Order: sequence, then structure tokens, then C-alpha cells
Amino acid sequence: MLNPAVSSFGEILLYLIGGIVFVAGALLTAWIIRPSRPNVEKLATYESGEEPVGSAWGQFNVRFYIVALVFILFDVELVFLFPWATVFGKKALIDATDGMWGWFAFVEMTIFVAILGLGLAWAWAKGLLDWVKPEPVVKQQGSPVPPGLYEQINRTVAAAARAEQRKQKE
Amino acid sequence: METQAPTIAPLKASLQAILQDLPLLYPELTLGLGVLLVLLGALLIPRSWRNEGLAVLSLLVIAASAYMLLYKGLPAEPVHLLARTLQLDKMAVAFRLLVLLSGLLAVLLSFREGKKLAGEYYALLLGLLMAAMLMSMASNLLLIYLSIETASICAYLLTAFSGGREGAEAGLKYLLFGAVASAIMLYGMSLLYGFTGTLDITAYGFKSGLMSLNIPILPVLLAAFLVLAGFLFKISVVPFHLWTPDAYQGAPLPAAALFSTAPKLAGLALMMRFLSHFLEAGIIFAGLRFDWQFILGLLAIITMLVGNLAAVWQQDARRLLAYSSIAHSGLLLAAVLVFRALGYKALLFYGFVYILMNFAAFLLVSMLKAETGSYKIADYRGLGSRLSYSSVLMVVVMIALTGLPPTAGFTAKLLVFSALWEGYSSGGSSMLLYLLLTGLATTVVALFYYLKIPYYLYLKKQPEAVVQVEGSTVLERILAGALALLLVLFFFRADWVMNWIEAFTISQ
Repeated sequence: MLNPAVSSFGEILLYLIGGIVFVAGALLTAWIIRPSRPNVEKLATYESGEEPVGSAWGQFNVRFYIVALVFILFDVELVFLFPWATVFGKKALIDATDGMWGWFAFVEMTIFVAILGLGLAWAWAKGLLDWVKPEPVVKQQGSPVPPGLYEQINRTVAAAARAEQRKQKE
Repeated sequence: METQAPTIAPLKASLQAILQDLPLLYPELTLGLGVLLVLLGALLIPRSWRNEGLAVLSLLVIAASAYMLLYKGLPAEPVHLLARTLQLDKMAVAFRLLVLLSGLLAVLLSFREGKKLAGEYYALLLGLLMAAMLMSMASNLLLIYLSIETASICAYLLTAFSGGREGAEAGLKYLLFGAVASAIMLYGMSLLYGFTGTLDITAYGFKSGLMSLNIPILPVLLAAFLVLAGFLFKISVVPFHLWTPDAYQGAPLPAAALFSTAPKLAGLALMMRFLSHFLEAGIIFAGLRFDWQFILGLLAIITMLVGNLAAVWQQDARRLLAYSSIAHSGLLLAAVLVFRALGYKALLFYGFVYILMNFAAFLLVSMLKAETGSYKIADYRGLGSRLSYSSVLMVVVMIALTGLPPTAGFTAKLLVFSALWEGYSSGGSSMLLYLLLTGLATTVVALFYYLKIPYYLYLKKQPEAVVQVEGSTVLERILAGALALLLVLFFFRADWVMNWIEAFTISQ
């Protein structure tokens, strides 16, 4: 229980302080326990795995949007679940309604989650969650030279190079 | 904890009230369950008969919903449901039945188009129906917004469903217009809430808050108009009609037919409900009398003129039907503005007949598309001799849409016109007379463009090269024949429909 002397704005201030402490603590812990071996890649600005410099009009893979949508769906569900959980178990409300309150809250949330679950099942069954890598297309040149010939040339060239190296060592 | 003590006591009662209200909402709950079932079915049914299976499943869901509505969901007297967010009266029941009827016809029309579409199509169709049914009951600003938005989102997706470039363009236009319209509506609602401190438009506080002398009239009118803009967008009244032709052209044909009926009728019901509560407040406040009939009547007149005159220039059958649907919106809005039982009866009759003739028209356009491979009216040249069955039906339906005897279209227009005249001659505003005159004048214009299709079918010569793509199916032929037959039947037996409507006369 919070001290009743804390006003509503005081609570917001507590949230702010808590947030800052949480983030700062995480950064500090990481700074203490990590080894320090910087390289160019690590020092680049992080931008969700994308190239941080350049035009913002690049094309994204459309699957990003589907995954983002499914993520937001369940993110919002969670946001609803938190306030629900705080009123669901209130003993005073349950007692005052002979337990009807609990059943109402439970059934409503079950329906809500079941509908979202059906949505996820739909997206899954339709294959929207499969992250298929695009197949690289091998170009067929239609050359009359058989592939074996190239390999033969490569072998001869490599053998000649090795002979050259051996000579130089000697 | 201490502060919550007073609210706990009525909590049990309100939970029990919600449980008691649920049976009256079984029709909507059935549709909602149907959405999930259709999605499951789309995953489980093998591809070879998936389209047929899902269509039959949707038909069953709609039939079950209608059964629930007729045998379980009729309250003895008007009731408020779910903590006063819904108002269930006879008007709501009538409009919900009309919505279900249009949904039934839309699924029947979808057998052909559905083959090209994925399983979500039927789920979205049912979702749209559920939202439209809630729209016709909503009496709380929050639920009004939610139901309109659900219907709109289903409609945006259905518009873009055909997948092609045309569909994507139409869907995007519809989405942008719709988003702006709902933002405007939401702003108006927030103002109304600020003035009254309640979201419940049936509450006493809503009325008294608007009538209080502390609020100047201008902001209240502004807020009301902002909210009405959202409704007018759904009904596609000028100047909120710009999305209509593109959406109808880009959407799958059955979905377009549904857009022109279910959300439109539900929007009209919503508008009637909103105005009936707002009107009493609007008339008295600040000692000023504000004439809603005048402003909305003006919009209805402009809608009739724009819809009919723009339809004359259309070359594409779908765009022609879109502008015709805008023109019909004007007339339906005029029937709302009579604000009397007579106008309400005329509105219901017109709505019923409009569903029949509009679905028949869209079905025939889709049959002719199957037979000629084109939506262009110019490509219907000389088909009258080759495709005599579809052509004869097309003539009947076009006559009905114009509003000429011997079809129910004539009876419907006659009822609206006589309601307008009755309203005017019994001391109503002269706007009703102007509405009547515009309605008569635009019927002459309508004659010109609707009869263009029979003109091309019968009086133009057929070009030499004829491409037969694929024939129409037996089901389509039977359905089109039945709809046309009903249109003629209800001209001679209009009293059958009237008896049904009498049962749903307003009783508030």
C-alpha cells in the first residue's frame, strides 16, 4: 500500500524515478560485466538491423508488417489484461455480487483471448508466420561450353599456380 | 476501497440486468459467433467445396439470427438494454429484419464471386451485418461510434477484397474518407458530451443539458452537425457521397449491393433515433427555433439532384447503380424528415422494396457480366434477342428502380410522396413540398438513365463479334426471377407488406 500522503502527481513522479533507475541500472550492470572489444560494426549506430545511413524510402519486406501486426495484437491484449487482473480478483466486488463479478470478468476475458487465439491460429494456418527466405535465382546463361571444361581449366590453372609457388620457395 | 462502497450495491443489480438483456441480443450474438465459425470453417473445410460450405454456413447463421429475432428477441414494449446503451423498440426490430434480409441476399449473390475470394469474405460480411444491426439500436454515443466504426472497417476491407488495382484504389479512398468522417463525428460527440455530461442520448440529462441557457446555440448546432456528418457519410448523402461510385466499382458486386442497403438503412434508423431525441431539445433551446427539416431537406434535395444528374453520364453499370443509390438516399432521407408515423411507414416500405430491387439490379449486372464479360452499358447492345431471360428481368427491375407501375417501386415512391404531401398539407414546413417537387422532377431524370439499359438491350444492333465468357448459373436465374416476380407481386399486393409494417409501427 502506498503512503496516502503521496498525491497523484507524486505517484507519477515515482514512476518517472523508477523508470530512470531501471534503465540506468540495466546500462550500468551491462557496462560493469561486459568485456570491451570495440570494432567498426559494433560502434555503428543501431537501427533495427538496417543500414543506419541512407534514404528512408527503402523497401521493406512485407512480412515485417504481418509480424508487427501480430505483435501489436498481443501487445494490446496484454495492456488490457493488466487492468483486468487488478479488478478481477477484488474481494469486495466478488463478495458484493455473490461471485457473479468473478464469472463475468472471467468469461469476458476468455472470449477476448479466445478470439485473439483464433486470429493467431488463422495467421499460422495461412502460413503468414513462416519466414521463408527468398530463393536466389541462378542465372542460366545457355553457354555451349560444358561445365566440366571450366573445372578442368580451373584445375590446370591451380596446378600451374602451385608449381609456380613451389619454384619460388625453392 | 472506502470510496467504492456506494457503487457496489447497484453492481449486482446491473450485472443481473445484463444477464437478463442477453436473450434479446441473441440475433447479434449469433452473428458474432457466426463470424468465428466462418473463420474456423475457412481453416478446416477442404478447398474443393470451401466456398459453397462457407456460403451455406453463413446462410445458416443468418437464418438462425432471424429466428432468434422473430421468436426470442421481440420485447413487449420498448426497453433499454445493457446499461442504457441500446434501445430496443419496434423500429429497431424492423430495421434489424431489413438488415438480415439484405445479408441473406448478399450471401446468395456471393456464390459466384466467393470462388475468387478467401474465407474472410463471409466473415466480414457477417461482421458488417452485426454492426448494422447494432447501429439500428444504438442510443449511446459510444456505442453509436463503435457500431458505425465496426461496419465501416468491414466495409473498407470488403471493398479492397477483389485484390486488383481497382479494388485497392477504391478501398483506400473509402478508408480515407471514412476516417475523416468518423474523426469529425467523434469530435462532435466529444462536444456533446462536454455540453451535457452524458453519453446517453435518451437520458434526461442530455436533453436538459442541451436546453440549458448557459450554452450558446451555435456550438450546440455545430456539434450536432458534426455528429450528423458521420451518419450522412454512411447513408452517402451529398456532400459525403464521393466514396460511393469508386467503392461500388471496386468492391465485389455482392458487397457493393450490401453497402447500398444494410449500412444505409441502419444509418437512417440511427439518424431517426438521434433526431427524435435531439429535435425536442433543438426546438426550444435558447428561445430560438432551429429548423432541422430545412437544412437536412436542403441536403436531401441536393442529393437527389446530384445523384440523378450524375447517373445520366455514367457508362459503367456499377457506377450507374452507385449514383442511383445516392439518388435513392435523398428520397429515403426525405421520408425520414416527415417525422410522422406515415413517413416512417413509407420509409420502411421503401427500404424493403429498395433491398429487393437493388439486389435484383446488382444480380442482373453480375449475370450480364458473366454472359458478356463486361460492365459497360454500351456492351449490352442487342442482347435482348440473345439473352432474353436476363434482359426481360432487367427491364422489370429498371422500371421498378425508376418507380413506374406495375412494380412495387412505384408503390414505394407513391407512399413517400404522399407522406411528404400529408406532412406539408397538415401544417408542416414548406420544405416538404420542395422535397416532393424535387422527387417528382428527378423521377423524370431517372426515367432517362434507367431506361438507357433496356434501350441498349433492345433497340441497339448487336456487334458482329460476340464473346460468350461463361453462362449464368441456374441459382442466379432462379433468384433473379424470384426477385423480379416479388417486385411485380408487391405492386398488386402492397397490402401484404403494409400489414407487416403495421406490426412494426412506431410505439414510443
